[in-house]
Amino acid sequence: MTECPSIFLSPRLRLLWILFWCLTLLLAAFFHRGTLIDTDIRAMLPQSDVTREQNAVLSRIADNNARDIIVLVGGKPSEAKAAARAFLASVPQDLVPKQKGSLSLAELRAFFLPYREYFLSPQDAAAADTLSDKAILDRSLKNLYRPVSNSLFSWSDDPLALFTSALMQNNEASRFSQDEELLWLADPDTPGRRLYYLPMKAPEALSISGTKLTQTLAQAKEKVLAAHPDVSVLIAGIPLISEGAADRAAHESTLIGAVGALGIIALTGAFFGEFTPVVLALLTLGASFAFAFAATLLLFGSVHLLTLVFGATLLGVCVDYVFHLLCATHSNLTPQQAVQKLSRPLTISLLSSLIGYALMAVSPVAGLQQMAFFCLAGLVCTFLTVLLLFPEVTRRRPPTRLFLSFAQILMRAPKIQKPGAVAVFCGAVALFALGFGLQLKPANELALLSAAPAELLSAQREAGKLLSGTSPGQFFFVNGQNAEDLLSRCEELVGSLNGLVRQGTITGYAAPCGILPSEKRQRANAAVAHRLNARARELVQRTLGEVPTFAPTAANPLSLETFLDSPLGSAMSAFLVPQKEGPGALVLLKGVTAESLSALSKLDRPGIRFFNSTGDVAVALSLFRSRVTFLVLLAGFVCLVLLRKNARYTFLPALLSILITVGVMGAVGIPYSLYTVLPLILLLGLGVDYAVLLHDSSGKPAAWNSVFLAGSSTLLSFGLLACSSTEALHLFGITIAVGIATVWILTPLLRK
Amino acid sequence: MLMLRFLSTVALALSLPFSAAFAADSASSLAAIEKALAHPEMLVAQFTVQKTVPDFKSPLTSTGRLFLWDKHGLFWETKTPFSEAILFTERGVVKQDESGPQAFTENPRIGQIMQSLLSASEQSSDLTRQFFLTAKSDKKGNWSLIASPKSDLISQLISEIALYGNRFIERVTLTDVAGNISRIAFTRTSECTTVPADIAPFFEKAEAP
Repeated sequence: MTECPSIFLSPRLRLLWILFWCLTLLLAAFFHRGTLIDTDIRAMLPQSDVTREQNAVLSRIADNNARDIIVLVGGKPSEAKAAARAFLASVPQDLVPKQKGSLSLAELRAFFLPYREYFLSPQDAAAADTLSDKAILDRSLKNLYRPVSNSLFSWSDDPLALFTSALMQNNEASRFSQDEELLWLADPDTPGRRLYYLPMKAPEALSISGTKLTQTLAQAKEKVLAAHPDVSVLIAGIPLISEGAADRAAHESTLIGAVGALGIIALTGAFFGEFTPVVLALLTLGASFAFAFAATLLLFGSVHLLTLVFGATLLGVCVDYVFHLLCATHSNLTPQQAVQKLSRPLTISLLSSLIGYALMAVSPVAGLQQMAFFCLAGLVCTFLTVLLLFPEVTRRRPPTRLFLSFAQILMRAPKIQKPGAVAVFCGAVALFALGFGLQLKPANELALLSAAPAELLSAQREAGKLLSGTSPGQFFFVNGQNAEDLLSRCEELVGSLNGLVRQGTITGYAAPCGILPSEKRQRANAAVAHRLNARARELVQRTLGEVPTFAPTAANPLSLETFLDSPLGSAMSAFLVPQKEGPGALVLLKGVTAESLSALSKLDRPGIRFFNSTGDVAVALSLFRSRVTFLVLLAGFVCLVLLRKNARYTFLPALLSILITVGVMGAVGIPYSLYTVLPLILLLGLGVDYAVLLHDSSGKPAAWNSVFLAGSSTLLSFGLLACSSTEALHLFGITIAVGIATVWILTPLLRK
Repeated sequence: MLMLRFLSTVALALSLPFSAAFAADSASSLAAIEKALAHPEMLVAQFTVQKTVPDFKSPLTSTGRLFLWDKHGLFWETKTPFSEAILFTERGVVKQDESGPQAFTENPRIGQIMQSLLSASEQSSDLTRQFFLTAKSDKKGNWSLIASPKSDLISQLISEIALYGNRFIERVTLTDVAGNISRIAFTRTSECTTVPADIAPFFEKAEAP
């Protein structure tokens, strides 16, 4: 019976593949606009279903912080001030936000004068009913006699300075002092020291005139510290973290790529003893990398640096196909015969790897999705290139002496054949896996994704502590049918938040209704303020014998629309998030801790939604981890069913390798996380792949050599990935490396 | 930021009568003033503030005492026609209420005032950059200093500050943009070596961690 010729020998399919490859690259080259390689680490962070729904809300938060850089210059007042000025002079001026012209107090007075009684601080509102005449008189007199009034208006218009009190409550400015053009706050740790606050804005592209932002700021810091050795300079901000992470990723992708490629060249050259296989391997890998890059670019718009770091491991997996075919052609098979013989096992191998990467692609982590797609595209490209084009460019070769002698050595590897011995071995492995596997501890996947240098994260935390910044990860989103509905709900929420602040659950918040109360609240405020002001004027008149006239109050409260046109409108618009259903706004929180999350989530109700984006993502990731664990078991079962006839030789090595890997993870303290479970799927695929190849061609030197070479290159690539400073990639690499090393040993040990 | 600047401006108003008192920096006459001024670590004085408000026919007079502790803060106590005691420090203010001195750190801006009132400390030269100054002095050590705000920010609140003195500042006249004029006279100014017992709890509260 003659075997059907493999479809991979079809010239038409070959041509189609070449056209498709060219078309993909051309499309990517013609249609791509903007950044080619994305370095912003935030683009790789996961999204939960909840966060995806409310993307606009998160974008607002992210946009607010994305380009902010904070510089705090601390020291004795005069020296710190001089150092702060020197720092500002040392950095490119496009980093320093343009100072807005001084706010016209005259304009503010004119705008708010008719509405002044509609504003009342919660403290004044609460105390209003219990204020004695003496207290009212005292407060009025203090305001009147003060050498410089603290009220925006004349005494007669705001005798108790109620409007100023309302305006000063719950605002970030209350912690800052102004010293000429600079803002400062007292150092909470050292009395007498000041921290001058220099807010800066990073440009859209992270480097300035070719000099990296981090480097620019570090140079400015160095210069300032040289001139003012007694001051401290703290520099923090998301752009610096992004830049730090990108730097590391660029370094790693270059290192892994270069060392991986050199390893493959050395391995191929040494093994085949000629130059052509090296060229073929490099050309195939280059074509696959280019195809993966172009396809990712077309689908995602840009390729992230971390994808390139992970993608560098693709070299080790892709080169497997090249090795399998080259080993076959170096065993007296014609290229066509080799393709005919290898198309089935290589297709199974591709499918098993694709399943592993496909699982990564459906994870809720944007970064993993892109990495998985990159690898899927690269693997498919190598597979098709090897099977369709190699018959045209390779020829039958007699095996070299090294080729044969190496295979002979491998073939002499020990093996366990007796069923009893196999059962004892399996039992020992199972006990090892169970014993140490139970010690596995789950990890927070989100934290493992951070690739930023520790010192930058520490500076960010320190700056956040000093400035009591609002949390970008936890906040409330309030919406309503109209502005009044929105502000009323905001007030309802703020009432509850005040309770949490008093209990110390959070340290504060920033809410739009703190700037503009609802019209209902404004009317209630006006009733109280009008009564108190009238009483104050009356009491002062009795004491001093005279009282001046005062300006009338507007008949209606201040609407949101009118307020947005006021000189302070921008302070309000920073909170607003336009929604299709009606206006929406953010209520930002300060001092959120893990302990406060439960109390905050209890405030969730219709129209008021608590967002814990980091928590939501962490929960989504841990759920996904459980699902992937289940899928590993399911995939194992499917493999067992499919390979049931020869499962003892084709499935058992992969299964035992996974169990040993799990045991090793537990023994050495590698956490149980998505990044250690996903590799198990790939490991299953690669393990089965090697075992099937060896089993199908048992006794043939080409199979032994190709499995050895494939395992070596994979081990090399993932071993290099294990050196990544991104914890997630490190864990991924180390898990695969341990697993492949085990497969490498067990597959020959359990052979037929 | 707009809101922040506005609120800083409003709060600055509270500190100006004091910070302005240190608006002595530029020329040689200023050097003479610096030389004439005493630089005590602690200082106590009585004050009388006479404020003229355009809408009120009669001037408004208040009296009290102040205590300055260099680099620690300024205690300002109004005794008539009402009672109010406030300690201003760089970290915030401490006010008296029913249960004793209470610290309010939410408004430390006010603390930038007066750290060096009646002494010429390192902060004075910083503050003076905000004013145009006209200084005069005579052979007896009497001097006057007229300060007009340079920055838009302050000029929206204050028109002019005039200071008169000899070894200590004796009088300050402050004119704001609304036409209110406050004339502050300091009397019985003297150096001291200990914090008065009734004021000490304020400093203890302010310097508590």
